[in-house]
Amino acid sequence: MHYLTDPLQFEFMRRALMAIVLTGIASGVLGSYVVLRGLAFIGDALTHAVFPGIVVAVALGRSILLGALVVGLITALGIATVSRGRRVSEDTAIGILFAAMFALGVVLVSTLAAYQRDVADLLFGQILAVSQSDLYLAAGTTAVAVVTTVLLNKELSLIGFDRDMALAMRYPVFLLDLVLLGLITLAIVVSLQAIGNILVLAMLVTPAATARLVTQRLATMQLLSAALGVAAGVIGLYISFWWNVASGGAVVLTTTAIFFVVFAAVELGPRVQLRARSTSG
Amino acid sequence: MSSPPSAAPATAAALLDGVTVAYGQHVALDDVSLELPRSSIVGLIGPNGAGKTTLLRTLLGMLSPRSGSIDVTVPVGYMPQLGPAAWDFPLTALDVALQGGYRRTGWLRRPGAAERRSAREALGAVGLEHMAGRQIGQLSGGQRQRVLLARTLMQDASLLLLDEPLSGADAATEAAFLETLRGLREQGRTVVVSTHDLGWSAAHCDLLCLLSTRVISFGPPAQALSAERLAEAYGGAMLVVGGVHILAPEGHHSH
Repeated sequence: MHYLTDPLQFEFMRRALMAIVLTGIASGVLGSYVVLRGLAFIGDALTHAVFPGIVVAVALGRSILLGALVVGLITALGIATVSRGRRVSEDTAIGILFAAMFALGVVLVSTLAAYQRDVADLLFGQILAVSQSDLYLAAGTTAVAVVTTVLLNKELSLIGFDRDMALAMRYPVFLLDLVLLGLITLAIVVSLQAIGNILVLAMLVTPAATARLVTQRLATMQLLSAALGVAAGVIGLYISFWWNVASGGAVVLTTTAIFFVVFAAVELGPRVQLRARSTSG
Repeated sequence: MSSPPSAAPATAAALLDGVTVAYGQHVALDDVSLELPRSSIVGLIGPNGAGKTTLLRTLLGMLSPRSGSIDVTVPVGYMPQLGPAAWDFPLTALDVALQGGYRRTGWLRRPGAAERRSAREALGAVGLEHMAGRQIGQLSGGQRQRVLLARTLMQDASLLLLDEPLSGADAATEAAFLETLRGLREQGRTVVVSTHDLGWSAAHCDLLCLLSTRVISFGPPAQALSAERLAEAYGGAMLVVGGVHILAPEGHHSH
Protein backbone atom coordinates (compact mmCIF):
# COMPACT_ATOMS: atom_id res chain seq x y z
CA MET A 1 0.00 0.00 0.00
CA HIS A 2 2.83 2.38 0.69
CA TYR A 3 3.36 2.72 -3.05
CA LEU A 4 0.03 4.51 -3.12
CA THR A 5 0.21 6.36 0.19
CA ASP A 6 3.87 7.42 0.36
CA PRO A 7 3.61 10.16 -2.25
CA LEU A 8 0.64 11.66 -0.42
CA GLN A 9 2.90 12.76 2.44
CA PHE A 10 4.09 15.51 0.20
CA GLU A 11 2.07 18.69 -0.11
CA PHE A 12 3.19 19.14 -3.74
CA MET A 13 1.97 15.65 -4.64
CA ARG A 14 -1.41 16.23 -3.05
CA ARG A 15 -1.77 19.45 -5.05
CA ALA A 16 -0.55 17.74 -8.20
CA LEU A 17 -3.14 14.99 -7.77
CA MET A 18 -5.92 17.52 -7.39
CA ALA A 19 -4.67 19.39 -10.46
CA ILE A 20 -4.61 16.21 -12.55
CA VAL A 21 -8.10 15.22 -11.38
CA LEU A 22 -9.43 18.63 -12.48
CA THR A 23 -7.61 18.23 -15.80
CA GLY A 24 -9.18 14.82 -16.34
CA ILE A 25 -12.68 16.09 -15.61
CA ALA A 26 -12.54 19.30 -17.68
CA SER A 27 -10.83 17.83 -20.72
CA GLY A 28 -12.86 14.61 -20.53
CA VAL A 29 -16.22 16.40 -20.65
CA LEU A 30 -15.21 18.94 -23.32
CA GLY A 31 -13.12 16.37 -25.18
CA SER A 32 -16.34 14.54 -26.04
CA TYR A 33 -17.34 17.47 -28.25
CA VAL A 34 -13.82 17.78 -29.64
CA VAL A 35 -13.99 14.14 -30.80
CA LEU A 36 -17.63 14.15 -31.95
CA ARG A 37 -17.36 17.35 -33.93
CA GLY A 38 -13.90 16.68 -35.31
CA LEU A 39 -12.37 19.68 -33.58
CA ALA A 40 -8.97 18.11 -32.85
CA PHE A 41 -7.21 20.55 -35.18
CA ILE A 42 -9.01 23.54 -33.62
CA GLY A 43 -8.14 22.18 -30.18
CA ASP A 44 -4.51 21.92 -31.20
CA ALA A 45 -4.65 25.46 -32.54
CA LEU A 46 -6.12 26.81 -29.32
CA THR A 47 -3.47 25.12 -27.18
CA HIS A 48 -0.71 26.70 -29.23
CA ALA A 49 -2.44 30.03 -29.50
CA VAL A 50 -2.53 30.53 -25.74
CA PHE A 51 1.27 30.39 -25.60
CA PRO A 52 1.89 34.17 -25.92
CA GLY A 53 -0.69 34.74 -23.19
CA ILE A 54 1.30 32.48 -20.92
CA VAL A 55 4.57 34.23 -21.75
CA VAL A 56 3.14 37.66 -21.04
CA ALA A 57 1.60 36.42 -17.79
CA VAL A 58 4.95 35.01 -16.64
CA ALA A 59 6.70 38.26 -17.57
CA LEU A 60 4.18 40.31 -15.63
CA GLY A 61 4.23 37.89 -12.72
CA ARG A 62 0.53 37.23 -13.12
CA SER A 63 -1.31 33.92 -13.15
CA ILE A 64 -0.50 31.99 -16.31
CA LEU A 65 -3.99 30.52 -16.28
CA LEU A 66 -5.42 34.01 -16.52
CA GLY A 67 -3.07 34.94 -19.37
CA ALA A 68 -3.92 31.78 -21.28
CA LEU A 69 -7.63 32.28 -20.68
CA VAL A 70 -7.71 35.79 -22.10
CA VAL A 71 -5.66 34.98 -25.19
CA GLY A 72 -7.46 31.68 -25.74
CA LEU A 73 -10.87 33.31 -25.74
CA ILE A 74 -9.68 36.00 -28.15
CA THR A 75 -8.32 33.29 -30.46
CA ALA A 76 -11.56 31.31 -30.25
CA LEU A 77 -13.43 34.43 -31.33
CA GLY A 78 -10.94 34.97 -34.16
CA ILE A 79 -11.26 31.41 -35.46
CA ALA A 80 -15.06 31.48 -35.29
CA THR A 81 -15.21 34.84 -37.07
CA VAL A 82 -12.69 34.17 -39.83
CA SER A 83 -14.12 30.76 -40.63
CA ARG A 84 -17.62 32.19 -40.77
CA GLY A 85 -16.95 33.96 -44.05
CA ARG A 86 -16.38 31.88 -47.15
CA ARG A 87 -13.27 33.73 -48.31
CA VAL A 88 -10.88 31.56 -46.30
CA SER A 89 -11.52 27.90 -45.43
CA GLU A 90 -11.68 27.02 -41.77
CA ASP A 91 -8.54 24.87 -41.82
CA THR A 92 -6.60 27.65 -43.49
CA ALA A 93 -7.90 30.27 -41.06
CA ILE A 94 -6.86 28.13 -38.12
CA GLY A 95 -3.47 27.38 -39.64
CA ILE A 96 -2.76 31.05 -40.12
CA LEU A 97 -3.94 32.14 -36.68
CA PHE A 98 -2.41 29.46 -34.54
CA ALA A 99 0.99 29.55 -36.17
CA ALA A 100 1.01 33.34 -35.85
CA MET A 101 0.05 33.24 -32.18
CA PHE A 102 2.67 30.62 -31.36
CA ALA A 103 5.28 32.63 -33.27
CA LEU A 104 4.32 35.67 -31.23
CA GLY A 105 4.95 33.63 -28.10
CA VAL A 106 8.36 32.54 -29.39
CA VAL A 107 9.32 36.14 -30.17
CA LEU A 108 8.21 37.28 -26.73
CA VAL A 109 10.20 34.53 -25.03
CA SER A 110 13.36 35.47 -26.91
CA THR A 111 13.09 39.03 -25.60
CA LEU A 112 12.66 37.81 -22.04
CA ALA A 113 15.76 35.69 -21.49
CA ALA A 114 15.22 35.53 -17.74
CA TYR A 115 11.95 33.66 -18.14
CA GLN A 116 13.03 31.03 -20.60
CA ARG A 117 13.21 28.30 -17.98
CA ASP A 118 9.72 28.96 -16.66
CA VAL A 119 8.32 28.97 -20.15
CA ALA A 120 9.97 25.65 -20.98
CA ASP A 121 8.16 24.22 -17.95
CA LEU A 122 4.90 25.41 -19.44
CA LEU A 123 5.54 23.80 -22.79
CA PHE A 124 6.10 20.42 -21.17
CA GLY A 125 4.14 20.85 -17.93
CA GLN A 126 5.35 21.30 -14.39
CA ILE A 127 2.69 19.79 -12.28
CA LEU A 128 4.80 19.73 -9.12
CA ALA A 129 4.93 23.53 -9.16
CA VAL A 130 1.16 23.97 -8.93
CA SER A 131 0.42 26.54 -6.23
CA GLN A 132 -2.61 26.73 -4.00
CA SER A 133 -3.98 29.72 -5.90
CA ASP A 134 -3.44 27.94 -9.24
CA LEU A 135 -5.50 25.12 -7.85
CA TYR A 136 -8.35 27.41 -6.83
CA LEU A 137 -8.40 29.01 -10.26
CA ALA A 138 -8.29 25.59 -11.95
CA ALA A 139 -11.15 24.33 -9.76
CA GLY A 140 -13.27 27.39 -10.54
CA THR A 141 -12.53 27.11 -14.27
CA THR A 142 -13.38 23.40 -14.29
CA ALA A 143 -16.65 24.06 -12.50
CA VAL A 144 -17.63 26.78 -14.98
CA ALA A 145 -16.66 24.62 -17.99
CA VAL A 146 -18.47 21.49 -16.82
CA VAL A 147 -21.63 23.19 -15.52
CA THR A 148 -22.00 25.30 -18.67
CA THR A 149 -21.50 22.25 -20.89
CA VAL A 150 -24.11 20.25 -19.00
CA LEU A 151 -26.60 23.13 -19.12
CA LEU A 152 -26.11 23.60 -22.88
CA ASN A 153 -25.80 19.91 -23.73
CA LYS A 154 -29.08 19.66 -25.59
CA GLU A 155 -28.34 22.68 -27.81
CA LEU A 156 -24.68 21.73 -28.35
CA SER A 157 -25.61 18.17 -29.28
CA LEU A 158 -28.34 19.36 -31.66
CA ILE A 159 -25.83 21.60 -33.45
CA GLY A 160 -23.28 18.80 -33.54
CA PHE A 161 -25.76 16.32 -34.96
CA ASP A 162 -27.74 18.53 -37.34
CA ARG A 163 -26.60 22.10 -37.80
CA ASP A 164 -29.26 22.80 -40.44
CA MET A 165 -32.02 21.91 -38.02
CA ALA A 166 -30.52 24.09 -35.28
CA LEU A 167 -30.47 27.01 -37.71
CA ALA A 168 -34.03 26.29 -38.83
CA MET A 169 -35.11 26.28 -35.17
CA ARG A 170 -33.59 29.75 -34.97
CA TYR A 171 -30.89 28.90 -32.45
CA PRO A 172 -27.97 31.35 -32.32
CA VAL A 173 -25.63 28.75 -33.80
CA PHE A 174 -22.65 31.04 -34.31
CA LEU A 175 -22.82 32.20 -30.71
CA LEU A 176 -23.13 28.63 -29.44
CA ASP A 177 -20.14 27.58 -31.58
CA LEU A 178 -18.20 30.39 -29.98
CA VAL A 179 -19.30 29.31 -26.51
CA LEU A 180 -18.14 25.75 -27.28
CA LEU A 181 -14.72 27.00 -28.40
CA GLY A 182 -14.59 29.10 -25.23
CA LEU A 183 -15.40 26.07 -23.09
CA ILE A 184 -12.71 24.03 -24.86
CA THR A 185 -10.32 26.87 -24.14
CA LEU A 186 -11.24 26.67 -20.45
CA ALA A 187 -10.49 22.93 -20.46
CA ILE A 188 -7.14 23.61 -22.13
CA VAL A 189 -6.27 26.27 -19.59
CA VAL A 190 -7.06 23.90 -16.71
CA SER A 191 -4.80 21.26 -18.24
CA LEU A 192 -1.89 23.54 -19.14
CA GLN A 193 0.07 23.42 -15.92
CA ALA A 194 -0.44 19.71 -15.35
CA ILE A 195 0.22 18.44 -18.84
CA GLY A 196 2.03 21.24 -20.64
CA ASN A 197 1.09 23.16 -23.73
CA ILE A 198 2.29 20.62 -26.28
CA LEU A 199 0.54 17.56 -24.82
CA VAL A 200 -2.79 19.07 -23.78
CA LEU A 201 -4.44 17.92 -27.00
CA ALA A 202 -4.00 14.28 -25.98
CA MET A 203 -6.13 14.85 -22.87
CA LEU A 204 -8.86 16.44 -25.01
CA VAL A 205 -8.92 13.68 -27.60
CA THR A 206 -7.76 10.32 -26.22
CA PRO A 207 -10.06 9.73 -23.20
CA ALA A 208 -13.10 10.88 -25.22
CA ALA A 209 -12.13 8.70 -28.18
CA THR A 210 -11.75 5.75 -25.78
CA ALA A 211 -15.17 6.42 -24.27
CA ARG A 212 -16.79 6.64 -27.72
CA LEU A 213 -15.62 3.08 -28.45
CA VAL A 214 -17.78 1.64 -25.69
CA THR A 215 -20.93 3.80 -25.49
CA GLN A 216 -23.66 5.09 -27.77
CA ARG A 217 -24.96 7.73 -25.33
CA LEU A 218 -23.64 11.27 -25.12
CA ALA A 219 -24.00 11.70 -21.35
CA THR A 220 -22.38 8.32 -20.70
CA MET A 221 -19.56 9.22 -23.06
CA GLN A 222 -18.92 12.48 -21.21
CA LEU A 223 -18.92 10.78 -17.80
CA LEU A 224 -16.76 7.91 -18.93
CA SER A 225 -14.37 10.22 -20.73
CA ALA A 226 -13.93 12.27 -17.55
CA ALA A 227 -13.43 9.11 -15.49
CA LEU A 228 -10.82 7.80 -17.94
CA GLY A 229 -9.04 11.15 -17.94
CA VAL A 230 -8.91 11.17 -14.13
CA ALA A 231 -7.75 7.54 -13.98
CA ALA A 232 -5.02 8.08 -16.56
CA GLY A 233 -3.97 11.27 -14.77
CA VAL A 234 -3.63 9.64 -11.38
CA ILE A 235 -1.87 6.53 -12.71
CA GLY A 236 0.45 8.67 -14.82
CA LEU A 237 1.29 10.88 -11.88
CA TYR A 238 2.27 7.87 -9.71
CA ILE A 239 4.40 6.52 -12.54
CA SER A 240 6.02 9.92 -12.79
CA PHE A 241 6.68 9.96 -9.02
CA TRP A 242 8.15 6.46 -8.67
CA TRP A 243 10.08 6.33 -11.92
CA ASN A 244 11.03 9.98 -11.90
CA VAL A 245 9.83 10.75 -15.41
CA ALA A 246 8.06 13.87 -16.74
CA SER A 247 4.47 13.91 -15.46
CA GLY A 248 2.85 15.23 -18.64
CA GLY A 249 4.42 12.52 -20.78
CA ALA A 250 3.59 9.80 -18.27
CA VAL A 251 -0.07 10.85 -18.12
CA VAL A 252 -0.44 11.05 -21.89
CA LEU A 253 1.23 7.67 -22.43
CA THR A 254 -1.08 6.16 -19.82
CA THR A 255 -4.21 7.46 -21.51
CA THR A 256 -2.87 6.25 -24.85
CA ALA A 257 -2.21 2.79 -23.40
CA ILE A 258 -5.79 2.66 -22.08
CA PHE A 259 -7.08 3.64 -25.51
CA PHE A 260 -5.23 0.80 -27.24
CA VAL A 261 -6.32 -1.78 -24.65
CA VAL A 262 -9.98 -0.75 -25.07
CA PHE A 263 -9.60 -0.56 -28.84
CA ALA A 264 -8.18 -4.09 -28.96
CA ALA A 265 -10.91 -5.36 -26.62
CA VAL A 266 -13.66 -3.82 -28.75
CA GLU A 267 -12.13 -5.09 -31.98
CA LEU A 268 -11.52 -8.60 -30.67
CA GLY A 269 -14.46 -8.74 -28.28
CA PRO A 270 -17.23 -9.73 -30.70
CA ARG A 271 -15.04 -12.39 -32.29
CA VAL A 272 -14.16 -13.88 -28.91
CA GLN A 273 -17.83 -13.84 -27.84
CA LEU A 274 -18.87 -15.38 -31.12
CA ARG A 275 -16.39 -18.19 -30.73
CA ALA A 276 -17.50 -18.79 -27.14
CA ARG A 277 -21.11 -18.95 -28.25
CA SER A 278 -20.41 -21.26 -31.13
CA THR A 279 -18.42 -23.69 -28.96
CA SER A 280 -21.00 -23.68 -26.17
CA GLY A 281 -23.97 -24.06 -28.48
CA MET B 1 -48.77 16.69 -32.07
CA SER B 2 -51.59 17.04 -29.60
CA SER B 3 -54.04 19.79 -30.45
CA PRO B 4 -54.96 20.96 -33.93
CA PRO B 5 -54.17 24.59 -34.66
CA SER B 6 -56.90 27.12 -33.98
CA ALA B 7 -59.24 27.07 -36.93
CA ALA B 8 -59.09 30.13 -39.15
CA PRO B 9 -59.77 28.52 -42.50
CA ALA B 10 -60.05 31.73 -44.40
CA THR B 11 -56.40 32.69 -43.94
CA ALA B 12 -53.47 31.06 -45.65
CA ALA B 13 -50.65 29.42 -43.66
CA ALA B 14 -48.15 31.53 -45.58
CA LEU B 15 -48.19 34.22 -48.23
CA LEU B 16 -45.27 35.18 -50.42
CA ASP B 17 -45.48 38.26 -52.58
CA GLY B 18 -42.82 39.04 -55.17
CA VAL B 19 -40.06 37.39 -53.16
CA THR B 20 -36.55 37.55 -54.59
CA VAL B 21 -33.64 35.87 -52.81
CA ALA B 22 -30.01 36.08 -53.93
CA TYR B 23 -26.68 34.72 -52.76
CA GLY B 24 -24.36 37.54 -53.75
CA GLN B 25 -24.73 37.86 -57.54
CA HIS B 26 -26.63 34.60 -57.93
CA VAL B 27 -30.41 34.99 -57.89
CA ALA B 28 -31.88 31.81 -56.41
CA LEU B 29 -35.53 32.89 -56.28
CA ASP B 30 -37.00 35.44 -58.63
CA ASP B 31 -40.26 37.25 -57.95
CA VAL B 32 -41.98 34.32 -56.23
CA SER B 33 -45.61 34.82 -55.22
CA LEU B 34 -47.43 31.95 -53.54
CA GLU B 35 -50.32 31.36 -51.23
CA LEU B 36 -50.06 28.18 -49.16
CA PRO B 37 -53.57 27.29 -47.96
CA ARG B 38 -54.34 25.47 -44.74
CA SER B 39 -55.25 21.79 -44.76
CA SER B 40 -53.20 20.97 -47.80
CA ILE B 41 -50.25 18.98 -49.03
CA VAL B 42 -48.20 21.09 -51.40
CA GLY B 43 -45.54 19.53 -53.62
CA LEU B 44 -42.52 21.62 -54.48
CA ILE B 45 -40.88 20.36 -57.65
CA GLY B 46 -38.28 21.52 -60.09
CA PRO B 47 -34.79 20.64 -61.33
CA ASN B 48 -31.64 20.74 -59.18
CA GLY B 49 -30.77 24.32 -58.37
CA ALA B 50 -34.36 25.47 -58.96
CA GLY B 51 -34.44 27.09 -55.52
CA LYS B 52 -36.54 24.52 -53.67
CA THR B 53 -34.35 24.47 -50.55
CA THR B 54 -33.92 28.25 -50.77
CA LEU B 55 -37.68 28.69 -50.77
CA LEU B 56 -38.04 26.48 -47.68
CA ARG B 57 -35.26 28.34 -45.88
CA THR B 58 -36.84 31.65 -46.75
CA LEU B 59 -40.15 30.48 -45.28
CA LEU B 60 -38.24 29.47 -42.14
CA GLY B 61 -36.75 32.93 -41.84
CA MET B 62 -33.19 31.59 -42.28
CA LEU B 63 -32.75 33.72 -45.39
CA SER B 64 -34.04 37.24 -45.89
CA PRO B 65 -35.37 38.19 -49.29
CA ARG B 66 -33.75 40.98 -51.28
CA SER B 67 -37.23 42.22 -52.13
CA GLY B 68 -40.83 41.18 -51.68
CA SER B 69 -42.76 40.27 -48.57
CA ILE B 70 -43.38 37.08 -46.64
CA ASP B 71 -46.20 36.56 -44.25
CA VAL B 72 -46.07 33.30 -42.31
CA THR B 73 -49.11 33.22 -40.05
CA VAL B 74 -48.53 29.93 -38.22
CA PRO B 75 -45.66 28.16 -36.40
CA VAL B 76 -43.24 26.52 -38.84
CA GLY B 77 -41.57 23.11 -38.61
CA TYR B 78 -38.74 21.75 -40.74
CA MET B 79 -37.26 18.50 -41.89
CA PRO B 80 -33.83 19.02 -43.45
CA GLN B 81 -32.28 16.69 -45.99
CA LEU B 82 -30.89 13.45 -44.65
CA GLY B 83 -27.33 13.87 -45.88
CA PRO B 84 -25.59 16.53 -43.77
CA ALA B 85 -26.46 15.20 -40.29
CA ALA B 86 -23.74 13.45 -38.27
CA TRP B 87 -25.28 10.01 -38.00
CA ASP B 88 -22.42 8.64 -35.88
CA PHE B 89 -23.37 11.03 -33.06
CA PRO B 90 -24.08 9.12 -29.82
CA LEU B 91 -27.82 9.87 -29.79
CA THR B 92 -30.78 7.50 -29.84
CA ALA B 93 -33.84 7.74 -32.08
CA LEU B 94 -35.73 9.05 -29.05
CA ASP B 95 -33.07 11.72 -28.42
CA VAL B 96 -33.43 12.95 -32.00
CA ALA B 97 -37.25 12.98 -31.85
CA LEU B 98 -36.99 14.99 -28.61
CA GLN B 99 -34.94 17.66 -30.40
CA GLY B 100 -38.10 18.83 -32.15
CA GLY B 101 -39.45 19.99 -28.79
CA TYR B 102 -36.27 21.72 -27.56
CA ARG B 103 -37.62 25.21 -28.18
CA ARG B 104 -40.62 24.40 -26.03
CA THR B 105 -38.40 22.96 -23.32
CA GLY B 106 -36.38 26.17 -23.31
CA TRP B 107 -32.80 27.03 -22.38
CA LEU B 108 -30.95 25.32 -19.52
CA ARG B 109 -33.68 22.72 -19.02
CA ARG B 110 -34.06 19.10 -19.94
CA PRO B 111 -37.11 17.59 -21.63
CA GLY B 112 -39.56 16.28 -19.03
CA ALA B 113 -41.77 13.21 -18.87
CA ALA B 114 -44.51 14.81 -21.01
CA GLU B 115 -42.01 15.61 -23.77
CA ARG B 116 -40.65 12.07 -23.68
CA ARG B 117 -44.15 10.72 -23.98
CA SER B 118 -44.88 12.92 -27.02
CA ALA B 119 -41.58 11.89 -28.60
CA ARG B 120 -42.49 8.21 -28.18
CA GLU B 121 -45.88 8.94 -29.73
CA ALA B 122 -44.23 10.69 -32.65
CA LEU B 123 -41.96 7.69 -33.19
CA GLY B 124 -45.04 5.48 -32.94
CA ALA B 125 -46.80 7.57 -35.58
CA VAL B 126 -44.03 6.77 -38.06
CA GLY B 127 -43.87 3.12 -37.00
CA LEU B 128 -40.58 3.31 -35.09
CA GLU B 129 -41.58 3.05 -31.44
CA HIS B 130 -39.60 -0.18 -31.06
CA MET B 131 -36.46 1.62 -32.28
CA ALA B 132 -36.59 4.42 -29.68
CA GLY B 133 -33.47 3.25 -27.84
CA ARG B 134 -31.43 2.50 -30.96
CA GLN B 135 -28.42 4.66 -31.84
CA ILE B 136 -29.36 6.65 -34.93
CA GLY B 137 -26.42 5.45 -37.00
CA GLN B 138 -27.65 1.87 -36.67
CA LEU B 139 -30.95 2.71 -38.39
CA SER B 140 -31.55 2.14 -42.10
CA GLY B 141 -31.92 5.08 -44.48
CA GLY B 142 -35.72 4.86 -44.46
CA GLN B 143 -35.79 4.63 -40.68
CA ARG B 144 -33.57 7.71 -40.42
CA GLN B 145 -36.02 9.60 -42.64
CA ARG B 146 -38.86 8.55 -40.36
CA VAL B 147 -36.97 9.62 -37.22
CA LEU B 148 -36.46 13.07 -38.75
CA LEU B 149 -40.17 13.18 -39.62
CA ALA B 150 -41.00 12.27 -35.99
CA ARG B 151 -38.75 15.13 -34.87
CA THR B 152 -40.63 17.50 -37.20
CA LEU B 153 -43.93 16.28 -35.73
CA MET B 154 -42.52 17.10 -32.26
CA GLN B 155 -42.25 20.74 -33.33
CA ASP B 156 -46.06 20.82 -33.32
CA ALA B 157 -46.03 23.25 -36.23
CA SER B 158 -48.95 24.13 -38.48
CA LEU B 159 -46.76 24.67 -41.54
CA LEU B 160 -44.37 21.77 -42.07
CA LEU B 161 -41.57 22.15 -44.59
CA LEU B 162 -40.00 18.86 -45.67
CA ASP B 163 -36.88 19.04 -47.83
CA GLU B 164 -36.68 15.96 -50.05
CA PRO B 165 -37.98 13.72 -47.28
CA LEU B 166 -38.52 10.72 -49.55
CA SER B 167 -35.42 10.58 -51.71
CA GLY B 168 -34.40 6.94 -51.83
CA ALA B 169 -37.14 5.90 -49.40
CA ASP B 170 -38.28 2.29 -49.11
CA ALA B 171 -41.93 1.29 -49.45
CA ALA B 172 -42.58 1.14 -45.69
CA THR B 173 -41.18 4.64 -45.23
CA GLU B 174 -43.20 6.01 -48.14
CA ALA B 175 -46.38 4.52 -46.69
CA ALA B 176 -45.65 5.88 -43.21
CA PHE B 177 -45.01 9.33 -44.67
CA LEU B 178 -48.19 9.38 -46.68
CA GLU B 179 -50.32 8.32 -43.74
CA THR B 180 -48.70 10.93 -41.50
CA LEU B 181 -49.04 13.69 -44.09
CA ARG B 182 -52.72 12.94 -44.61
CA GLY B 183 -53.27 12.97 -40.85
CA LEU B 184 -51.61 16.40 -40.65
CA ARG B 185 -53.83 17.69 -43.45
CA GLU B 186 -56.92 16.46 -41.59
CA GLN B 187 -55.79 18.45 -38.56
CA GLY B 188 -55.81 21.57 -40.70
CA ARG B 189 -52.06 21.77 -41.13
CA THR B 190 -50.12 22.61 -44.25
CA VAL B 191 -47.32 20.36 -45.47
CA VAL B 192 -44.85 21.47 -48.13
CA VAL B 193 -42.81 18.61 -49.61
CA SER B 194 -39.93 19.29 -51.95
CA THR B 195 -39.26 16.32 -54.18
CA HIS B 196 -37.82 15.11 -57.46
CA ASP B 197 -40.54 12.51 -57.78
CA LEU B 198 -43.12 13.90 -60.20
CA GLY B 199 -45.21 10.72 -60.08
CA TRP B 200 -45.46 10.75 -56.30
CA SER B 201 -46.30 14.44 -56.11
CA ALA B 202 -48.92 14.22 -58.88
CA ALA B 203 -50.58 11.31 -57.09
CA HIS B 204 -50.57 12.60 -53.52
CA CYS B 205 -50.36 16.40 -53.43
CA ASP B 206 -53.31 18.77 -53.48
CA LEU B 207 -51.27 21.51 -55.07
CA LEU B 208 -47.99 21.55 -56.93
CA CYS B 209 -45.53 24.37 -57.29
CA LEU B 210 -43.26 23.91 -60.29
CA LEU B 211 -40.19 25.99 -59.56
CA SER B 212 -37.24 27.00 -61.66
CA THR B 213 -35.97 30.12 -59.90
CA ARG B 214 -39.35 31.56 -60.87
CA VAL B 215 -42.73 29.94 -60.23
CA ILE B 216 -43.45 28.20 -63.55
CA SER B 217 -46.83 26.96 -62.44
CA PHE B 218 -48.84 26.58 -59.26
CA GLY B 219 -52.09 24.71 -58.88
CA PRO B 220 -53.68 21.27 -58.84
CA PRO B 221 -51.34 18.60 -60.31
CA ALA B 222 -53.13 18.18 -63.65
CA GLN B 223 -52.94 21.89 -64.24
CA ALA B 224 -49.46 22.51 -62.87
CA LEU B 225 -47.81 19.65 -64.73
CA SER B 226 -48.78 20.43 -68.31
CA ALA B 227 -46.21 19.35 -70.89
CA GLU B 228 -45.34 22.94 -71.80
CA ARG B 229 -44.80 23.93 -68.17
CA LEU B 230 -42.62 20.90 -67.50
CA ALA B 231 -40.56 21.61 -70.57
CA GLU B 232 -40.18 25.20 -69.41
CA ALA B 233 -39.02 24.14 -65.95
CA TYR B 234 -36.71 21.32 -66.91
CA GLY B 235 -35.60 22.56 -70.27
CA GLY B 236 -34.35 19.11 -71.27
CA ALA B 237 -35.86 16.47 -73.49
CA MET B 238 -39.16 15.11 -72.38
CA LEU B 239 -41.34 12.32 -73.63
CA VAL B 240 -45.05 12.14 -73.20
CA VAL B 241 -46.20 8.55 -73.30
CA GLY B 242 -49.89 7.91 -72.89
CA GLY B 243 -50.40 11.08 -70.89
CA VAL B 244 -47.44 10.33 -68.61
CA HIS B 245 -44.54 12.72 -68.67
CA ILE B 246 -41.15 11.11 -68.72
CA LEU B 247 -38.22 13.33 -68.14
CA ALA B 248 -34.92 12.58 -69.75
CA PRO B 249 -32.96 15.67 -68.78
CA GLU B 250 -29.19 15.65 -68.60
CA GLY B 251 -27.63 16.39 -65.26
CA HIS B 252 -30.68 15.38 -63.30
CA HIS B 253 -29.63 12.97 -60.59
CA SER B 254 -32.27 10.53 -59.57
CA HIS B 255 -32.01 9.29 -56.00
